[in-house]
Amino acid sequence: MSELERELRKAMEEETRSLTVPPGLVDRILGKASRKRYHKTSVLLVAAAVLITASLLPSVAFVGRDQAPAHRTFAEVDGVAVQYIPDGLGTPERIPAGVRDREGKVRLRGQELRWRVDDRSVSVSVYRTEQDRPVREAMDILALNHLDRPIEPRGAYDPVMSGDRTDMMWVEAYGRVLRVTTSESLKGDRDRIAQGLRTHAEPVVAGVRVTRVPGGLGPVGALRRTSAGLERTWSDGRRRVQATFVHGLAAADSETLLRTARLDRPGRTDVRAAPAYGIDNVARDAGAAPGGVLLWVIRPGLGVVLRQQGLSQADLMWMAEGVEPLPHDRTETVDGVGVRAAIDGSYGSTGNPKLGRGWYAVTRHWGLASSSGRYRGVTVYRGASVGSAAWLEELTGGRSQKATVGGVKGFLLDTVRLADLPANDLPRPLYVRRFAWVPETGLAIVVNANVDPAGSTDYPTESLEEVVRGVKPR
Amino acid sequence: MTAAERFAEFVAARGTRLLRTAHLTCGSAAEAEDVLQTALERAYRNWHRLEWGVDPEPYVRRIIVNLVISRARRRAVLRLIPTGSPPEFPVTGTDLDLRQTLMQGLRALPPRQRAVIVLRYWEDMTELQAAETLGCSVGTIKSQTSKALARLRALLGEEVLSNVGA
Repeated sequence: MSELERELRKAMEEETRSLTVPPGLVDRILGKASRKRYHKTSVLLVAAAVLITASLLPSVAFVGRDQAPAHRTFAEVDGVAVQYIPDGLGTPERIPAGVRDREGKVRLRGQELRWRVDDRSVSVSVYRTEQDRPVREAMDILALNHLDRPIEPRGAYDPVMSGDRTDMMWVEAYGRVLRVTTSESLKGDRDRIAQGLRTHAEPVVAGVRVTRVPGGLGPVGALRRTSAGLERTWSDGRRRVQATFVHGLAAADSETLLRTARLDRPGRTDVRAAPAYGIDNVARDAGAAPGGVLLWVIRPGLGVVLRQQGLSQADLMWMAEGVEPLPHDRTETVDGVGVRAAIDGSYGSTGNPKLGRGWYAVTRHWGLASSSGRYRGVTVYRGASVGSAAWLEELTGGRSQKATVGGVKGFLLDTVRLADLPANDLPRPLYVRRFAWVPETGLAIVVNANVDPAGSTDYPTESLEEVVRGVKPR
Repeated sequence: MTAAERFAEFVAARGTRLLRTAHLTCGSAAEAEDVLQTALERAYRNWHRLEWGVDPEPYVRRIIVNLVISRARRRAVLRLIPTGSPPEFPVTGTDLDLRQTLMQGLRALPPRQRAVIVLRYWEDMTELQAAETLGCSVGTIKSQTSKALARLRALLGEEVLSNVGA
């Protein structure tokens, strides 16, 4: 070490000796974080209020969803649809694309669509990141030193832009980076092009959407039922992630789920602000490579256990944050299942989920089941025991019969019960029809229709058929 | 212990060290506090991802260094806009002691070179660790260090060089 380096080190020590963390710094940061959360919640509540108000207004005041103009897809690159391109740019050229870091090592590989006419050009690129050094967030994009005079974004997943604002890159999902580049003459269209990029929506798996899977891993087999829950695996042969979705009483809360999973001395952490437990470097089976486990409860009755081998716990946590629950209160879905069963234009009410052994159930109903008025109900059951003989026995008391309703094969149960009537009315029977079917592993749909033969012109079979035909499992 | 408590514990243990790094990298005590707060806010947003068996300090330090470089770049753009006031005259070396002169020389370095010097000689990082923090190659760290030291020698001038015997 030279004299200059020694003196420099000494000077830096002296220069900073008097510096200490300002008092109240932690409080300021924590306060700001909670205010941000409050602000986000407020915005969501206001947005929800606007939507609810809008949904209560007469439908004639709005253009229906079916009448909205369809989005045109100009081109598609690696699963990403391009839905806006300025006029007059013709057909794109499809070329392989890559981004190197300062060491000259290729960090991003993918495909580029390039439109060019005279001095007007647009490029849309979709990159996959290299597995050994994945690009996870904006800071990683900045670290590539690829964009010219980059403008640092506010959030980790916001776009990083070049200084002249003609080039923009952002992490769209784990292992996937999108980029929009325009000529100077078209940079005014940059945001519209970026907003017009649509990735294929992740399908619903066991009542959740798994929106992030570590780069390079693909699904292995289909969703399967095990004694622990519904299980899904992703692997590249060397590394593997297994997700077990636990429904019902075993996932009533995180402590119950932890007892079920039998983890030895787990660490405590959070997933999306929900309490979670995890353990690293544990061999699941004798001779197996060590891995890690992370478990948490998304909401009472729905828990997730993630197990990894050959990946890091950070990867597992990243994937966990991408496991998104389905909303219960959407007007046209019940736990991810599309339903059009309105009575007199009403959207009905969704009750709290019910929990059983290996299942949970969410019901949307129209009318009151016990009254003599019209009643329809759609219940979505999810879980590993759904569809089993024991579950059907529990649901119908063993009195159901095979039937086809609305073109769907399932089990039909007819019952008669007495309606709740005012004291001076004579008791009269309600004709109750129940139809259940299992459209896919771990998912069952049960439709109920009540008819009062004395006070209604409804025909129960037609009513049931109408509801069944309005149900879209996917 | 909650995430907030763990975060407070981390700031109590490492905050001062990180503040000093921020100060040396950006050259201003006031800006250093602002940089540290911004970096810690970002880190806290991802705290649940960091704390699991991983030391968060390198992550926070990386945010600090990149923040300072990014801000310095923005300011460099602003400096191109001409103003009516005359430039300040540099303080001559004869009025300052050696430490101040060295720190002034450090502040005069381009932000990336300054960051390299701070990481190598203040944080005692190896060339590989510094390269990982800045997201560049070891070769870049070597060349930036060499350029920075050469520039420091040149900026300090003959008088100081004779004192430190570089």
